[in-house]
Amino acid sequence: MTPRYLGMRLATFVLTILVASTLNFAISRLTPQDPIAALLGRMASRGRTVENGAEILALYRERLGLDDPLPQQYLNYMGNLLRGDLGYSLAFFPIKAEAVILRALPWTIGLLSVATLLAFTVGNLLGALAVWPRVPAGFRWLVYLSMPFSAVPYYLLALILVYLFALNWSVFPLGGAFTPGSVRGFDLATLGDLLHHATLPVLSVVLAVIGFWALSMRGIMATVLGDDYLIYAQARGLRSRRIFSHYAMRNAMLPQVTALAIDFGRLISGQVLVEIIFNYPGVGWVLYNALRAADFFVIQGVTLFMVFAVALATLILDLIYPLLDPRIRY
Amino acid sequence: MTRRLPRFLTPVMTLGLALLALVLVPGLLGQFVADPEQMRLMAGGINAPPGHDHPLGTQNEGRDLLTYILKGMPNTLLIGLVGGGSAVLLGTVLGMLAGYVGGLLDGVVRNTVDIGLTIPPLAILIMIAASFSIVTPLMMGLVIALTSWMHPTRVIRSQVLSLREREFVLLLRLSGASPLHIVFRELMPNLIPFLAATFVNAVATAILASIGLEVLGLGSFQTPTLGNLIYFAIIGNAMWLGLWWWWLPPIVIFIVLFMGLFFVSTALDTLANPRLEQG
Amino acid sequence: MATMSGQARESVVVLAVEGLSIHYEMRAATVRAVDGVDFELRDNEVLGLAGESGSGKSTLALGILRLLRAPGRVVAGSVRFGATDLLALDESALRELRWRQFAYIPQGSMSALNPVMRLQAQFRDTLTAHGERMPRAAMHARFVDVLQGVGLDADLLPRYPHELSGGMRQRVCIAMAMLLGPRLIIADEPTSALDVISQRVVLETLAAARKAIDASMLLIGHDMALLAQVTDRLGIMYAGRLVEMGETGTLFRDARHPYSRRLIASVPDVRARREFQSEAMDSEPQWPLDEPLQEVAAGHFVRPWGGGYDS
Repeated sequence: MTPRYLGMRLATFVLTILVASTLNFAISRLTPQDPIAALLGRMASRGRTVENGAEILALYRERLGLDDPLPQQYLNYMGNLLRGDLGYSLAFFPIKAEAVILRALPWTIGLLSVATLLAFTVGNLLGALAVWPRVPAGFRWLVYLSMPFSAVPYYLLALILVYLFALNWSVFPLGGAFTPGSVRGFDLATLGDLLHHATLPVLSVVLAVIGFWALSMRGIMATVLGDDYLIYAQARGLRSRRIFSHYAMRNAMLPQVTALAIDFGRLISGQVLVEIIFNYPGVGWVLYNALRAADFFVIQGVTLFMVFAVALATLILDLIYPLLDPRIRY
Repeated sequence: MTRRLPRFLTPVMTLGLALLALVLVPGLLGQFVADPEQMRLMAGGINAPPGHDHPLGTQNEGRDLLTYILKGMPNTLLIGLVGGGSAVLLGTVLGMLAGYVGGLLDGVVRNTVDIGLTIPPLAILIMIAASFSIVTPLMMGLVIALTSWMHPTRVIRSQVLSLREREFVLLLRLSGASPLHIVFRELMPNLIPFLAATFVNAVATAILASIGLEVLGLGSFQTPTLGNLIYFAIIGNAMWLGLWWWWLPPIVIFIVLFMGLFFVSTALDTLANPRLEQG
Repeated sequence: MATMSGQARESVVVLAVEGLSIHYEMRAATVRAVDGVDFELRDNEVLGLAGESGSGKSTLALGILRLLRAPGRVVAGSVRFGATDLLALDESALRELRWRQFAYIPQGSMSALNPVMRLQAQFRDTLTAHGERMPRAAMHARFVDVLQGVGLDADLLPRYPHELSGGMRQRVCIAMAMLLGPRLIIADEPTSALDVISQRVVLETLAAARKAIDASMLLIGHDMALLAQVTDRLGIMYAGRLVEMGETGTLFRDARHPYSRRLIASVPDVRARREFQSEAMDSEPQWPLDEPLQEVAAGHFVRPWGGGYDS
């Protein structure tokens, strides 16, 4: 990888964050009133009152520097962002917004990475096996079976899963990330409790995404099966398993890795909503509560976090990609 | 060997259209049958299960749920059509111009799209919805289109890029036809099945985004929509109270709707790209 | 007696193809790519099969090797390798025979090598698939050996396929074929994607490498000039059938079938050959193909086409 490519890629990353945070600033300043008053007003119109409204309003006007000229406000805003200062949380007043988000972050990252990896692996294997010769027809049916799920939004699937497995059959807990009041430590009981609580949230993402990966892999693998290097590997008498893993899958995965980078935004958005359904204490749950409490800086922080997370994931995948495909030289 | 064009009504297409009809017919006509009186507060008992007077029961304010659904479906569909339609319209114009004209315009469009695609639409939508009040389905649709035109643009641009190297386009260019004529009169017809598939996908994306916003409590609560119905069901603890008639029907409608859209778009993809037919 | 044993050795049939028919069965139509082909390949012999693209010769190679992909299917005939009926073998028995007994040099090896794997890993895969256990150093020595056999340097081993030129890749495929010293090599247009100079080099390399391990070879191609250099016998394929077969020298001197004559006549003139090709590809067969081959001289077979046999 040349320094030039690395530089270009990093520049794109910075530019994306810059564009998104500028948009964020612009949107909140385009309102006729100042953003805090607008948000408080709307919450009030929906029958939710915020304690000490006037007091908080004054505090925030000062923080935002709403009396400064707009360019000055923008510079302040970007300066604060650069220092990782997102402002105070309104709902948990002395606590800063970044602290609220950071506290929720491990839950979201844990859930998201487990669900994404699981869905990506299982979905791709399923799709590949569905067209691989002499594989039981059951695999083909599994792919067809996964198709309707991929058309259904995660959070709707989540509601049905909660109803069936938590409410009706009580196999899994209704929500949360752990049993309230339980002692948490680095032991098996804690791990079991965490897994027990994570199963349904993970399952609702996995069920919905498996079909997506399986379907596209099925198409890619159907093409790869006719590729010359596969026929040549078979002609050399390589074992079918070796051909599948090192020749077919290894090549068919390349476009899927690219697709994963593109799809990451959709994944994180779905995750936010799934957390709400399951009261899972991640960033999505923080956002939901912030919206209900008009917690402006937390809302802003969560949206910026989403942008940052996706940009970072895309950057990482882009930097890894040349290692996966030796033909790519930047 | 001659390859006959696959007929329009493939089994997948028929299945998709049938599922869509299942949602669209009551969704579009039901509003004229529904009695607005039933939407009022306390039109029936509170949290009443489905029965003779209220075929789908009532919610915690005593509103009739069947009426709410019949009144809400047109709004949800409107959001999808406006959002998906505007996104594809914008994407088509930008994609065609960028792909055909090339040069600086193409560079600007391509880079904007590339950066825009890495920003999750929901993040921007949340900021918009938290800062402005979105009061009508029309506004909701337009706002969603603002965050979802990039994908159609990219898809259409790449199609135009491959079409413009075809022989008939080269001949037209040599014969002195104007670029605009070539793009919109000659290339457009070749892109119709493709545009249709993109449109169906964009409608699904728009509806999906609107549900996301509404479930977060950022919808317009003055207008009934299926997403708002789900939000109120969550807020009203319908799930824990065992009021399945409140939260389940909108979800079933969404599942049928999304499956219908999915099958139709798959079938359109096959029409647009016959090579997918095998395998 | 030396001559007797020499003759006996020569008459051993390595590969016998009988009445082989391969069809591509698609919804719209069935294409008979190979239609009742018979031939024998003897020990240490090089048999050429010539014809234009679309004549079914590549399909024939894949059919013999049991590498056909749907919708291609063997509908009739038999393929015998020594005493074994290749078409009746199960997958695992077939896998045992592959490469150890018969190797394949693919058409335009541009895309035959796995693009994301180093060459040494692809060589290693071929060895380990056939239970060859040996220390790394011995393995490496073996790779170097076969690479040098085709005039390539050992420092290619850690490279990826895209880092090699077309001619080098083709020679890597020849080296790969030599790895287990097979009895039979089937080479499908091994020079088709190369420039004229590389074509000659690669073909000479192939001929020398084959001679070094005393393998028989079925060499498929469309370039009569190149085929003339290295083959002992030559079969001419047209529309999925053999129309003529005989000693290479005889055929060049005394071709009977009009199609064979046109192929041979086209040798010096590249332009004429191109025109000829397009004409033959999209039209109905110009000659009747249903009558059985007739032996017009010892070992020289011609399919009757309704004209006289005289030259």
